[in-house]
Amino acid sequence: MSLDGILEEGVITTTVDGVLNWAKKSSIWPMGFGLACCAIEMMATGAPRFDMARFGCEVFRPSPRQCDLMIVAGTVTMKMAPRVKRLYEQMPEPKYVISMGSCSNCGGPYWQQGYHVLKGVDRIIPVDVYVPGCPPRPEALLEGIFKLQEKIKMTTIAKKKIAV
Amino acid sequence: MTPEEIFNKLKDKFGESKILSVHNNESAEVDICDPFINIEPLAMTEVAKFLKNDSELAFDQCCCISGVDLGDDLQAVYHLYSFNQKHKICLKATTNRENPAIGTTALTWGISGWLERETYDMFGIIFKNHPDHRRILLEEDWEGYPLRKDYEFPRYWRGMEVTPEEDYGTD
Repeated sequence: MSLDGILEEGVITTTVDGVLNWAKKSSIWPMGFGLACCAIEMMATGAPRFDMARFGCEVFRPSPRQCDLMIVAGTVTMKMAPRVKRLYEQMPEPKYVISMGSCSNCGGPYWQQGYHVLKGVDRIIPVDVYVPGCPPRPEALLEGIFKLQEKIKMTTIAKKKIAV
Repeated sequence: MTPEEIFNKLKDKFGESKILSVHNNESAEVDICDPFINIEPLAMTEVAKFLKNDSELAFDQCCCISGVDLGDDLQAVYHLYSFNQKHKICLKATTNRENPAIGTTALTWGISGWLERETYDMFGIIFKNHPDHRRILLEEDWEGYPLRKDYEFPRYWRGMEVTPEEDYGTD
């Protein structure tokens, strides 16, 4: 049997990495998890006007065990920090983190006088994409998700996940 | 009832050793928004009970309990309102810094339980006979009381950096 003509019958050729990464990036399930005002923008991003569903990540899950993506949306207080770390550890691999807004990027307005705020969520968990803003507009969060999708596209199963 | 009438009624009931003084705009040199009565701190429990249960006073609502750091002393400020009588009053209980103790009002107004816990959390004022005397916002093992003037930010808490090194000890 020859392969001649088989490509015209709807068969495509690709790499294992290509198809795995395509599957991963096209259905990123985020955790329904908000800490402060950034969570309002995150909800707007999930709602019809901005509609994260267009990019395959609309399924906000209530359990970390069903999630691929943790959007740290808001101020991480010292009291919350151990809980955020625990939630991250409960997520199955492959898992990704978007740090949304100034507070979770670096402490934001609480940098100097905030005895109660963690100065950046990257001090306790690895972060893939930082979204700046206070709070970021839904477009900015979507841009962060596109950046994450680009990052997922570059990974390969032959090596470890990059930069994590 | 006016603040003076409330003050006189309380003084008749509890005496001058527990109900210390009344302040309003006429008697004060500085402008006072809310007329207030100074109360002996450990008498707060019985005074609160009387304020709520007396039919003329009938203070059924504790709007707010605030803490104040006066330097040498610590103070708790109670704002009370009566939906029945449509009058309000402010109470102040001043206690010392070394051994700050005020009688609880948690058994009189339900909400004061939480408000007193917050005042304890931020200022370290002990409310005597409080049924659930714990911190409310910060973790149990937090050290110090953040809203005191002499509070120093911790450098680390449970291994996490609270104050970045370059800012530590600068303010």
